Amino acid sequence: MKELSDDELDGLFRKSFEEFDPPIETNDWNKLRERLDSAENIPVAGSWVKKYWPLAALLLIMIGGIGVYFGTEDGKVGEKRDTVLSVSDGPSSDQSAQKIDKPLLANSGQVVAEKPSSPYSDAQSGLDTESGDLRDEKQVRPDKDIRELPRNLASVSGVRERSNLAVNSDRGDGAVFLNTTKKTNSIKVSEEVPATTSDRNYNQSSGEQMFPTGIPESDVEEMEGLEVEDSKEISQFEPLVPLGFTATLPELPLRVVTDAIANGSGTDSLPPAKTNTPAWAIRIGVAPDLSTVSMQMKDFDRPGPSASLLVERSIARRWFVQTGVVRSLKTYRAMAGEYEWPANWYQSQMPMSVDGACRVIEVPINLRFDISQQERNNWFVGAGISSYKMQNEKYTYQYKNYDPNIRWWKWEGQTGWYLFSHLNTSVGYERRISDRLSMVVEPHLRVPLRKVGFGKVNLFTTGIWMSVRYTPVFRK
Amino acid sequence: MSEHNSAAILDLLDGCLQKDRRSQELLYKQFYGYAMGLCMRYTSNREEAKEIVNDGFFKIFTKIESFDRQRSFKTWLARVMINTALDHYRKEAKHPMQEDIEIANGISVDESAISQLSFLELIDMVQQLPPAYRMVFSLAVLDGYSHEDIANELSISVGTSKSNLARAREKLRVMLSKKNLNEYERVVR
Repeated sequence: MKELSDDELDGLFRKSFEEFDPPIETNDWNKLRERLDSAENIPVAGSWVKKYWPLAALLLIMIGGIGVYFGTEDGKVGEKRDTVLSVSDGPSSDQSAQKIDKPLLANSGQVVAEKPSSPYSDAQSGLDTESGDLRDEKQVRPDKDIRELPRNLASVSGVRERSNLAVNSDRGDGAVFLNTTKKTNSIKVSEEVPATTSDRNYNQSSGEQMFPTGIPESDVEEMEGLEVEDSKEISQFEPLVPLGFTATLPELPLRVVTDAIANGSGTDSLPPAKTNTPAWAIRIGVAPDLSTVSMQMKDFDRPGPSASLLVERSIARRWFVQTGVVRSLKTYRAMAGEYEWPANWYQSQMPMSVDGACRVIEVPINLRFDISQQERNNWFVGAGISSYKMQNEKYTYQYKNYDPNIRWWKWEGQTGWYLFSHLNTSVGYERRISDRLSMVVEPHLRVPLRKVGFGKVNLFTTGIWMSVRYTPVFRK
Repeated sequence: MSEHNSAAILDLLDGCLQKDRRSQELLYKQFYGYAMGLCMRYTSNREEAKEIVNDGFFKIFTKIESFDRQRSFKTWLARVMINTALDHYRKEAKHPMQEDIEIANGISVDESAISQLSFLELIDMVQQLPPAYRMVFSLAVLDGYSHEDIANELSISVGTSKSNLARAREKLRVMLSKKNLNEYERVVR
């Protein structure tokens, strides 16, 4: 035992520090990288994704659940609404047929009071015309021969008793009727009544008769020249406008009505119930592109940008076909075993991981189904298939230990098209902000169907599209 | 090509000049151990050393354009790390420059026992030194600074620097002696 000299002591500690080579901890580099990013004003969006992804997933599930729930509810409401629409506008049921026929008959100077059995024969059943044609033929049928009109509408009995009624209803004018209808429970139309006079008491849009409340039936008769045989019949007509409406309502131009009917916008071609599903739409969107090869959230690298231009075409009431172009920068890290190393690249040490930064052009073909269509809000789900074009690929190879003999540090190039390489799924919410514009938020997931890129990786991608949807109106 | 730096290092430095994160990461990992070894001398624990290492690399990556490629990058890095450690030391609360230490008069150390000590134990001893002694000991003994330079860096007199170095050595001897004694007792039992 002896006392160490200063030099011996110094040498001892100097040697100890020379031997010291602590292993690196990945987290140390991540901290520094975030610091560098913030110093260079690069947003570190990936960090909050990594931190809050369970919350985001929960939120996504909740939004989807609410969407499905209200979508189902909306479906029921939609059915009710459709029913209402069909009652007032639709030509399918007897009652609806009656409603539809009214304006036509009203315009033709006829009053319908009885429930018909078909759009045409029903109209006849509510009329009693002893004198035949009620209108001046020149006024009513200026340019069409009566023989052109359809004659395939038989009465309930199957016998064409009133073939020329079709002329009447189609033309929107008085018709020559065979007097076979019961006179009871109906309203007669006087021969002297001009068409324009009777038009006043009909709602132009709904066709319902609008006798002002409180007007005595006798006055009504005087005004319209109607013979009321059953006063109860009149009471069936609910007043739709306040008293005095008949005095202020402008006369409906007969010519307009007859022309509209002649152009095929009559009974059979009333506009269908509005469905709010325009035929075409264009979508422009942006989204963060979160890509990974292992579908583990911890492996998501920093998100890259992506932008899309999509065209949508309605193919049914709730269905759309969607296609377009998406351009994105996909950044990801593939560990050993998750990528393929080129067979002709020989070197002693293989990379521990590969960092990829790939510019990709994607062409999706999707189907969109609106699970809920409301006036302002739509919820939808989408699915489809995408083709990728690897436009520019940059790979950096990461090694565990530095070795001057390492030849392959990076690779850059492009490997082209990968047809139908990914399956797309999405759920979305659309909020209408004007007649033609709406905002769309659509979380999506791209699931690989085949391997892509130079390293042949299974590339998963997710993100949330934030889009503007424009519905153009095409002029004919 | 610089005679001090390999082509691979120069490639990485080129990438760092372009702010290429991948190059920065590779350079960081390449010199992390060396930098940690430097910074452990000037800190009392590993976490503090990591903090200084990252501060030092942050300076390197943000000031990489000031590096002269004809000189050794490793030397430049060491200089940056030591300066960062000194900055860190200065930022800390004023350290007492003198501490009571056990007088190590006549302390003897068994050389064979010393040889059995791991370098981690020796590093731990340096880290246990009071900051003022640790700084002087590390600068003078481990990194070859003169007392004039140390006095200048730490804003102390040359005499204080010499005194602190002597006291640091004495304290280390005490620690080594205690370590030997403990080891001896452990073996005897």
